[in-house]
Amino acid sequence: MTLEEMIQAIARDRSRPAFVGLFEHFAPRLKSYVMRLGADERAAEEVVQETMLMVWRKAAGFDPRRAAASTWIFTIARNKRIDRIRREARPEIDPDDPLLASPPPETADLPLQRRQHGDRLHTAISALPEEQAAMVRLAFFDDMSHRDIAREHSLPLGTVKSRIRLALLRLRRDLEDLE
Amino acid sequence: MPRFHVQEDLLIDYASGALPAPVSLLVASHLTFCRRCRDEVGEFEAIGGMMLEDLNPIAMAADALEQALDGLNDADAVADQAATLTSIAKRGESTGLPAPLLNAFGGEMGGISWARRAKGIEEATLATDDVRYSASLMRIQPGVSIPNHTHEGEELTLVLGGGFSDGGAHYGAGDVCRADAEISHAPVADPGEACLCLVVADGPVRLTGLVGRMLNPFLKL
Repeated sequence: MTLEEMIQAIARDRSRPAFVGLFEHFAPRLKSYVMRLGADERAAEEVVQETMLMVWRKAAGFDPRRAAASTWIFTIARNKRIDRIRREARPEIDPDDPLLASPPPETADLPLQRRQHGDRLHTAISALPEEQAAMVRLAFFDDMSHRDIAREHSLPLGTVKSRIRLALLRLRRDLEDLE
Repeated sequence: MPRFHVQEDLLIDYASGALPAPVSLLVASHLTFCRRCRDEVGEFEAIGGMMLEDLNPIAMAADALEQALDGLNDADAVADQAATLTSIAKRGESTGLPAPLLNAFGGEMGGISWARRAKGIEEATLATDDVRYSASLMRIQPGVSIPNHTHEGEELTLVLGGGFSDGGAHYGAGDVCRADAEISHAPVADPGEACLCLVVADGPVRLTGLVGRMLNPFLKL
């Protein structure tokens, strides 16, 4: 069963085995994504849980003709993460709150890494000139806007824009070749 | 179909999730009008999805899957959030406001409180936690001109209804006008229909004309 079919099986049959399949594949990647963006382990686990719950609830809205499973789940996680930051950014949160300070849960051993589409994209990304690849990673995984990246790397905004743009156009071409 | 679009860097930042809330709101509202930009965002999100696949997995807590499965029972019992979003989108059809915007104003056009800024110009400011960007709805009566002004930062204006002319260009529903610190401009609303816009700005607005300078203390844009 493909990842896309698993989402459809949830929509159609409320299939728990399909949910388990999606969870095992995506949850550790989503955790990695959210932690790269600066969340601690505990917060990352919560975002992942919320994301997977939305996958279950919104499965009927998934259209495999419009988006791959990874694309759809990426957008849900991105939004869940943003919702969380905006809540946490409010001044009334007390940093001394004992709940915030609780230790991260015990972790299991790393599961076997599954790389299906990942390999192909990895190839495409590693074929990019490093300066472009770095910009794309910053844009997607370091929560930096074009403007932030320019400031951080002391580059003119125009240079950042054109590097990201060139890299994304190239990746987009590679993705089209894969389809 | 809009003729003036959101620039690509904003679409990329929207797709990656890096935009401040007020700008994100403007982009989402433009996307409601614009198929072309929506498709483009979809492609950038696909790249995000593939990059997610490419990340090194980090193991979840030992009981994480069990916890997730337990949560599914409750999820089935709760009203679907997607259904709520749909109903807001449906109400949007009658108000003319894109769902993200209507949602940001609490879901009801009637809940928006307008403040008069000058003759023929009303503003409804959106409460936001963002420290840099402000967002507000502007309602400009037919034929009324916004006093000549410049910006410290940039200003993005999305037309929601009616239209306006600025610097030789005409902007209609769905169009986005981007002005920066270099530009002093005085947009004029079309005759016949009030112009409704979403304005997102990242710095104080400065009025530059003589009348504008006189209005400055009152025009808290």
